[in-house]
Amino acid sequence: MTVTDEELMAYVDGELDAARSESLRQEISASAELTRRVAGQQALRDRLRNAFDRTLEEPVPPRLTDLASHDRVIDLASFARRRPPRTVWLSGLALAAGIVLGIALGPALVKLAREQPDVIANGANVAAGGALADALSRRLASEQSASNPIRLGVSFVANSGEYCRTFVSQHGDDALAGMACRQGAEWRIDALQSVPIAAGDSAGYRQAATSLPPLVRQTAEASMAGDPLDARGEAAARDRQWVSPAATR
Amino acid sequence: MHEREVTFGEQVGRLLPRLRRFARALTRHAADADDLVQLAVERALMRSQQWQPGSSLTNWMLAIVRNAWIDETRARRRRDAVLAPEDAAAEVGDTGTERDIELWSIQSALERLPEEQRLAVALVLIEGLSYREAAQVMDVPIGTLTSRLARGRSALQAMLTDQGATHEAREDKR
Repeated sequence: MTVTDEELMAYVDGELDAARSESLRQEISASAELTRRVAGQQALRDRLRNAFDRTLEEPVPPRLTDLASHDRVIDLASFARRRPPRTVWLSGLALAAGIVLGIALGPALVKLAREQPDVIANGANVAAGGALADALSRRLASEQSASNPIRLGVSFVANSGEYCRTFVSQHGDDALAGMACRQGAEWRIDALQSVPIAAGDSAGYRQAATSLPPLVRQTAEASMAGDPLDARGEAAARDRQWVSPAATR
Repeated sequence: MHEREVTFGEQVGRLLPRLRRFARALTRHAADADDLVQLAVERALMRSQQWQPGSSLTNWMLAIVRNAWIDETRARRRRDAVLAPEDAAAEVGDTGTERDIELWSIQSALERLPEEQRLAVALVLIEGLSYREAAQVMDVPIGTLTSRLARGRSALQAMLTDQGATHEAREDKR
């Protein structure tokens, strides 16, 4: 009986059942021809394995390790590194007046103010309130659950010295992405943009949490003083109640 | 004390060396391989909810790398921007060590295989997956996997035997 190459390969790969493997082993030891063929298969397997195993020892480039360690905030982190900061800064005033964002934000803000007090307009400033303020103050990016309508993105120290965080907050079929900075005891909202999500598309919402809409992303990029905080830096910032590091100097 | 749960990103981070090895089997340009891993990790983080805890995260990630690679090669073919083999050879230069040359010749041989055979070889022979696992990653029936694997292997055997002979001859001369 001739043994096919395919079966010899399966033998070398350990894919045959025990009985067939044993009977083949005996056939092989009795045949110089089979022994030679098996050795050839084994040599190829070893050679491939050995050649590529060395790549396991190479240091992994930081751009990849950073990506994984920042978890859900990848887009922003890689953007901040790739692009020079642009001068997009939305003041709370412009935001509240809806001047810069125009119709994109106007209705969303109104709707939001009506339905949920997460964002409260307070004179010239727009500040986070309710559940959003609570999440911004207490929750770390590593502590989120898919069921929570508020998801936190990246935390960082802004050029102003304040701590800022990005977030996505879902309201029924709407989601708002934004950037909030800690000013005194409040989270001042410096950018806010609605994120369209198809009805029932929870994946779309998750994606929105990862890929911030352009306006929020640009604002964050422009404000960011360095790299985003890692998990430890974020926890440390929370422990100090997000009091600006500049304030204690 | 509260023990922090390992985040999804951290779990993926631990797999990076393996994902890079797999990517290097698919494309021999180290920078392309890292771009591919980056793309796959970005996708994985975006879709983390789709991974079922308890199933193999490694195999799930390998499938994402494989899909990203297929998307990438299709896009590349459209752009018609595949590097000429000569360019790749130039990367090795004269400074390559014996191990560099060995890896390079195997990568060159792999590169000449049809895409699906290369994937089968990489998953089973380099990543050490079982036939069943590799078939799942490639999303094909097990019989399809084994025939691609067999064809890829025979082709590699033929290509590398020549090179292997010269390789050994070089060793002998030392």
